[in-house]
Amino acid sequence: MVESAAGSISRKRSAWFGVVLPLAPALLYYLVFLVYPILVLGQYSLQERGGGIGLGNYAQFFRNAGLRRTLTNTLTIAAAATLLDLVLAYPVAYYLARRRTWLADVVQVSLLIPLYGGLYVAFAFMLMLLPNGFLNSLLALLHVVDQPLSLLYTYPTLIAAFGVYGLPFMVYPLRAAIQGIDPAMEEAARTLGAGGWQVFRQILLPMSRVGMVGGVLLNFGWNVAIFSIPLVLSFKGAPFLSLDIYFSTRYGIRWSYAATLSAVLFCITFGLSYLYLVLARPTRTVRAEGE
Amino acid sequence: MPSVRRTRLVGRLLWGLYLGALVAGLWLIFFLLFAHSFFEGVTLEFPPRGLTLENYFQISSAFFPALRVSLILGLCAGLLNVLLAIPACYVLSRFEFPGKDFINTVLVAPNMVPAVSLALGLLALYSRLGAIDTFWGLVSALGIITMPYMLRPVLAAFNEMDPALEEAARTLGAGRWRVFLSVTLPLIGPGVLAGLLLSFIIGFNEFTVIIFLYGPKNLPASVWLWNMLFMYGITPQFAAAVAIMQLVSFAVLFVLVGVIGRRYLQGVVF
Repeated sequence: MVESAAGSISRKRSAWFGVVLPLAPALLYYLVFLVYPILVLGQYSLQERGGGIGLGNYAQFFRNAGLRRTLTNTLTIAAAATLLDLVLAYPVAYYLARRRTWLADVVQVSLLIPLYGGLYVAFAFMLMLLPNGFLNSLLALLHVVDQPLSLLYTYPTLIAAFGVYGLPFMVYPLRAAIQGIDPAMEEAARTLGAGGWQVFRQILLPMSRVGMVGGVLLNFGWNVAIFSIPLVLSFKGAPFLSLDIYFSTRYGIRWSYAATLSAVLFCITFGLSYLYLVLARPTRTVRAEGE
Repeated sequence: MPSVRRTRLVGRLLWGLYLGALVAGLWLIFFLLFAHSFFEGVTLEFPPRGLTLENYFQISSAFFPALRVSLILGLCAGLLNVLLAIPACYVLSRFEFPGKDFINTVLVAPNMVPAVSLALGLLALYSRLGAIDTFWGLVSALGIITMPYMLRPVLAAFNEMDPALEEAARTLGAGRWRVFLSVTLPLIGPGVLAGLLLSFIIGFNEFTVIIFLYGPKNLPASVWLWNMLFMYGITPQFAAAVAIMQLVSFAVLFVLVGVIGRRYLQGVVF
């Protein structure tokens, strides 16, 4: 604002240098190592087998029964994990949005654990669910089961591991949405005699609907792209897009195939995340002005 | 009235139980891996036959060079991000200009791109440049992945700082560099450090992008762990190696949260 007040030409020019020059290294870095690689993917995915350029690879992708199955499986697991996260995260987000207690701090920090280590989440699930692992031994000790449960390579385990890994990506958008709701609304409803469930059904849920949609988009987009967890915990019959991409690079790369899969994955995740940003922008601006 | 108080108490208890269970579940991820590293025996079973430190001495000697690679990679990616983020955040926090919203969105874009897609794109780029299995190639890839985690805290630090302090120093005759080094940098220091540590943790543990781009010359610990698991399954020595990785991450996380403070972690994920 100081800059716009002083409107002389030399001042403007120095402002241009002052704005563009410091931003240039970061933007150049993004251009080379983020934008360009994605463009290269797009280019490879458009190179048809005959040598022409077109959407042939994409047509083949959706015509191929195996790949359709891979896509369906990936989307189903991601959707199930998103649903799980929505239920798990709502109370957490509410608590973090409304309370400033030591417990809120502990929860906040604990949510960082899955953030950096998808690989560790997968390892931990493995340790927990092995036939002679933590859970089975515990159940045997308590005489709940006499035969070890074979839980390791199953859909519920995959979904639970996805759910743990993606939890922060549901909690944070929901928390932002709930922070945008005036606590006076809840208090007013309570004064008028509404119980906890009624407040939730009639105040919180309708008012946080946009935030919930945002959280679902972000979380689902993130879940679709997870790589390390299916790499460790997936099994025959549960194919994943991200795994297909990785394994197609192992023994002689089929560039157009791998690039087409990556481009599909990119479109899903990037599209949903972008939609989230568009949805979340108004609430964020309001919050910024309020602070 | 007592009934209201009782409902409140029950409510508080339910909150405590739910959040406690969630936190316990998240920490179980860490504790299970850590606990198993002390178990005696060749295979892992629960409950263990005994507890021992022997596993730590039996970790394959190939692990430690890999750990070194990971430490250096994480640190270099963080430092690269510091150099790029400070000027960018300075501009974003101080000036209004057309296209600012767009640039703000672009800067969080690495979080919106699937790691696998980015990794394949980088693989294509690097095979053209001959950069596969090079140190700078891996650092650049990690830097992109961790950049959003650097920008948030640094931007928060710039926004918290009063620009009048810089102007005062300028008025008193200090040069641009002098002002930056002795006024701006100390004030944004905690935010920069928070971003550096966060970038380090994520870069140090990063797996997805690296497994596409690594080679025998630059083999990071996360990929080494996966190779071990793939070849030998889960063994106590494997658990010990994972425990060392986790201890490094937690030590850094502890410094981040305990010393620098949580305020820079607000909204780290979008």
